[in-house]
Amino acid sequence: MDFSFLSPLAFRLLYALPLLIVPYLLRERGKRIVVPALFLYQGLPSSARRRLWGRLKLTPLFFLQLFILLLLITAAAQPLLQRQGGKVALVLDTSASMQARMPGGQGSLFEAARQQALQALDTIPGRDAISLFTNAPLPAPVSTSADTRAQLRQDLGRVEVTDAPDPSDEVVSSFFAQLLGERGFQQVFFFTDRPLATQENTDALTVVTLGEAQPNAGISAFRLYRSPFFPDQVDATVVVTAIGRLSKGSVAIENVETGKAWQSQQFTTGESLTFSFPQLPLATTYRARLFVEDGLALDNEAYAVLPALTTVPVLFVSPSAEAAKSLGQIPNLKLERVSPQDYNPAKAAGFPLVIFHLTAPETLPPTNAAFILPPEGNTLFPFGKAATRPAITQWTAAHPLTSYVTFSLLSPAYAQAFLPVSWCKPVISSTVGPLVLAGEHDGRRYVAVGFDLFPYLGKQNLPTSILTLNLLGWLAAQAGQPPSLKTGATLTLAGVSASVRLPSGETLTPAGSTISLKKQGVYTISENGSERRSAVNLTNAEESRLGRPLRLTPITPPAPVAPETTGQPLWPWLLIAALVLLALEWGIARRAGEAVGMG
Amino acid sequence: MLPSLFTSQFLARLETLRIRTRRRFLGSRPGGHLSLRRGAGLEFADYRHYTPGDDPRYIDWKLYSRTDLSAHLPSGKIDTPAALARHLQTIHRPGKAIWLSDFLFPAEICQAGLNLLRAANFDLAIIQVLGHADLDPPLAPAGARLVDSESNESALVRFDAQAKKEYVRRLEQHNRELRSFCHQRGVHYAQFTTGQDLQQFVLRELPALGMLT
Repeated sequence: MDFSFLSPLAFRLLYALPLLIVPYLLRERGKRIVVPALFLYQGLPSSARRRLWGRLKLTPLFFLQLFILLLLITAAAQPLLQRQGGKVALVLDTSASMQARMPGGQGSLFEAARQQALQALDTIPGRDAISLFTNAPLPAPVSTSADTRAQLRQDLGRVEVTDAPDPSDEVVSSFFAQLLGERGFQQVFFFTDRPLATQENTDALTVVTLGEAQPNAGISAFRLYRSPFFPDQVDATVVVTAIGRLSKGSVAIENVETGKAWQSQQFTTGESLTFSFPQLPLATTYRARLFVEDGLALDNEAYAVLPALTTVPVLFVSPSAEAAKSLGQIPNLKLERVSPQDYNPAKAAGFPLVIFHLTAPETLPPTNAAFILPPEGNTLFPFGKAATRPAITQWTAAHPLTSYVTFSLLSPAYAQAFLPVSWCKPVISSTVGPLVLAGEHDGRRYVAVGFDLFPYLGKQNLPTSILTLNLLGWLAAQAGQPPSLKTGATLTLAGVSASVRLPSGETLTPAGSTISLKKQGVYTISENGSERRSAVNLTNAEESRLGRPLRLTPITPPAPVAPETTGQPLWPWLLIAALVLLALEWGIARRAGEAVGMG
Repeated sequence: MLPSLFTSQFLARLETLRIRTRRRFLGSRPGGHLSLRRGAGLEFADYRHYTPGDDPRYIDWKLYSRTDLSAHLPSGKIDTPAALARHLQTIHRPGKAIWLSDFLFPAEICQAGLNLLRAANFDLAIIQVLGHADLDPPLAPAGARLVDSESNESALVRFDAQAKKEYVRRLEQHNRELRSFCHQRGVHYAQFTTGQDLQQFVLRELPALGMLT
């Protein structure tokens, strides 16, 4: 234990301390007292014979006042009780993967980590100051070094594991570097499920790894599609990432409200599996469930809410006004036509889909798009052979573009076949080659058609009309879909007095305009008099990879730090003591004054 | 206006009291009896203090002037025996004399004054009136300028606890000497301090000491 002072300049006030004697000198300087007769006082010791310091009689009250002033000056200097011990940080991994079961044991990895941290509290010397942190969704303090061990134990007991993924390794590295650097910790313990990739880090960082790599499968994507042109049809796609050897399992889609499972598909093996669930019945909330024996249960389910039915704004880039007029007959479609010369990508970004008719931009637009008979020589979809009335020879029956199309009746007057495009798959092919290509690039959908679909003639040309609606529906299927939210992200609220019902059923009234999405499930947000629901999912293939290595960037060993500077501030106690003594002094002085007054 | 201490009840009790003398004196009144009737009439009954509502025609202004001793004393330092001697010249017949004072002047002066009155054949009683400040004066440990209230003489005194103890000892000795002098010479002595109950003192203690009946 040692003392230091944050404001030692306050001790200059000591020079003013002698001023305390002045009132005593003034008070004791020849008081005039009228007495009825002087003869009884004659012969008593005379004050005239005494000098200045002799006349000054310092009472115990004076010394009490002196002590109070010394206390106040010391408090102003802000003394700090320093501990000579080190400064230790315990960091608890609260990411979703910590919910994995402990191999061969009871409970989760997180519970094991908590126990390890509690044991560490017992082994760290009592003179060391310990701080507690969590790392997910982002590194954050739980308790400070001023807390007692008992308080730390309570805080440890209250820490909850989240459904959020780990922050990136770069974030974790910089957090540790900050702890060991500018925040002055001499030792950091990190309790996690991830082993260090290399052991080149400083001795100041101890990574306590719990569990080990174990087989796991998790839903890494769950999407619902609802075509504005076939609103009663809902399609779903579930992407499963499987790591390690797993026994066979199955994937099912359920209605959350009723718990009824509609479709179930079996799988045996594979690292990344995509399951399509076409034509699901309408429901408010859907849940994809993965039935498999694996390490982590959390990523075996994901949620989605029914996309709202909406009018789809479409940017139609075409030289043909007649084609645009024909498309205007399609319900739930709000068309805006621009000529090819007026097109620019920034405008396209404001639409959920763009149709390029007899034209093509130089680069893919930043939204879903269809390219109807693009011009020869375009760079996006190069042409192969051309043909008149080519016969359709092949199509992908499972693709939504081909639903309900009678290909025997589809006979375009003129068509140009495409050369292969790496990220696209041929959906409809003819004798001269692929006539329809479809694919996803950077999360957006694109379709290229090698013959003209327009003008839209409705029932007069059913195969072409159905293919057109399929194309529009596939591209606009996500138009009414709420944005996909991930655990660990932040949800921004529009209303000031918004309330949020959490997946647990608890209702929160956030103080600010955001809430942190720590748990997976459906959040119901009430704001501005309306209610909306959002599905929040982990769907993180990396987090599903249990026991993946932790790659920390090398951390510079901290320079030897001077003795701990985060000791206990003592000035509040000194101030309280001074106030108590001041009250005592006031009481004594008052009593003494009363005694004199009675005389 | 009398102080509130002098209630009508207290004044009524006072009316029933008589100053007791141990000797008989020659008087101007014919006869030696007392009339039980008082009030308006030609026959004189007794003197009493003026009370509000009394008819000013019945005030004996000459007697009043004689009882107002202060009117005959010079301001400043008082030479008590000389003042008494001057006052005695205005009194032609001896009688009952009651001397009220703090008697805080040297014992020989007190004794000289008392002897003067005794020599003039007065039946003498003294009441020493002391204030709380006389009995328990405030401390001035660093020294104080003490000023005599009558002579304005002053002295610098370091009046600490030790000095106070000496003062109290001197005061007690002074009072003891005064009381002893009175007892030896047949002078009634009573002491009244300002903290005492005046009614109790007048109605109980003074009759007990034989000053009043």
